[in-house]
Amino acid sequence: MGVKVYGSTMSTCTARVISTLEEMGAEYDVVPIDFAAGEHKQPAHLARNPFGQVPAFEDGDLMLFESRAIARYVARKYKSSGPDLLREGNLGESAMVDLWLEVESQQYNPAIAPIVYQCLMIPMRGGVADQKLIDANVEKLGKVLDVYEDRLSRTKYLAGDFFSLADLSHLPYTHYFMATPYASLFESRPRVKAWWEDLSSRPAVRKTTAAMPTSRFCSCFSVPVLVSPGSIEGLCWFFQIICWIYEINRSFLNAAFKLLFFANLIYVCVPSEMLKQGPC
Amino acid sequence: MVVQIHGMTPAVCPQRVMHCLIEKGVEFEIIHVDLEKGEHKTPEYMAKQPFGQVPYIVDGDFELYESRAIVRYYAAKYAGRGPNLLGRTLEEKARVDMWLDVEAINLNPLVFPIVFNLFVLPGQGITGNKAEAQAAAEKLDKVLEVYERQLSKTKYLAGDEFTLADLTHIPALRYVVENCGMGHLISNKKHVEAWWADITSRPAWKKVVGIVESRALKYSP
Repeated sequence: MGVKVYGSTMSTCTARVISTLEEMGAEYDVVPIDFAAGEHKQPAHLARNPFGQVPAFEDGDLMLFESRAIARYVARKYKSSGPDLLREGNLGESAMVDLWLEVESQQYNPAIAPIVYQCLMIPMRGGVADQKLIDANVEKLGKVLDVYEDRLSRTKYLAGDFFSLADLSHLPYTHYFMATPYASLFESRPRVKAWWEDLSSRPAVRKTTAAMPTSRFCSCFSVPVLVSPGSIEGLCWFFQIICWIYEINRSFLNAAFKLLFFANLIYVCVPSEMLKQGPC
Repeated sequence: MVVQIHGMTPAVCPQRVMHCLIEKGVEFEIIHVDLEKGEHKTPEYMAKQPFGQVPYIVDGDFELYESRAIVRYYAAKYAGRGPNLLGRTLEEKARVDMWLDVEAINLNPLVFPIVFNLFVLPGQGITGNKAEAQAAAEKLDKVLEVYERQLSKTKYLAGDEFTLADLTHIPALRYVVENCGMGHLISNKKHVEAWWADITSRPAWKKVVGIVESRALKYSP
């Protein structure tokens, strides 16, 4: 029996686990949790993750939560079929992996998560981003990235000249961060930029981020996202066929669709699980 | 070779490291870094700890910062000595990792505003933000309810043995209980209270408290 990941492929913390499973070539199933229906706060999910968060992870009788802990478990369990993401055979290297995993969770994440949340998640809910909070965290993140730039001038990856879980753990929030107006923080730091390009082009990472579309977020300025002409046309054809079958008067439906098409006022909403989840 | 802990002993993160080293019977000395004078923000200090926080350790040629990475390092280096702090099987290690992360990510962000506003700032003659501390305390109470349910099933957080997952909680929660008037957050939960009494009565932890109170700068097993 394969392992199960309870969560959403678009959730940052679930993606952290999925990317590790992909790197290790593990077989897994994703069991979606319906945020809109509050499923993450229902007894069945609370039995898996008592903090009512995602992801939760099941491997036989073992139930785990906390994405970085799950990722460590996956890296150990599937060690023979993937890269050595933890370097536990070498005390010094393992310490560097642990150090940069801590830096990710204690320095990087507290700065980057509020920017992603304010720029992308809040506007989706129809809220107004807190620009002061964004500015404060952009400044904080800049200082953190200066440390990274210095580190990456000496080693190819964060923990050393080897790719590790410490690098991979940065994936989810950084991926979404690149859809905010502040991606220039990476552009202006050549080594950090190169490190991100290397990380984000890994096959396992591309497979993970394929399920994390950023094009569907509304921008910080709440510009409505236009529905693609293809999908409107498809809808029109669908209703044409319905009309032919049922001989419904088409003129009303045609007029309604023309109005929608030319007004272009349909928002593409990210599925509701993203609206409810919040930062993790 | 004596391990050097660069930091200030009243601070939470150096205490975490001291506790782990004492559990493992590892000799160390404290190189005092005065936080009130801003010595942790000097270029010389930040050349070693680029985020300007305490502690960092020097062990011969080896240097490391981030207290949770440091305790993991020593727990692994001295795995055969003293208590097993990391777990043995794949599953046990995962549970230790899980509760280490719960402390770092769910609990610590709530403890900090309580201790900062009700202890650190008043200690400097500044009035802290009591509303912020109270709001954090209410959330911390809910988090500790999750701990209560876990500790009704296992003696310690990751299972029936004391591990790093319990150890990392002690320094900050101690300030919450003893210096911020928030002892009820623990004493109103039967299993959390028993766990707290157990882990804070460990001889190694009592030695940490002794070092802090006496302002000692070294430990030999």
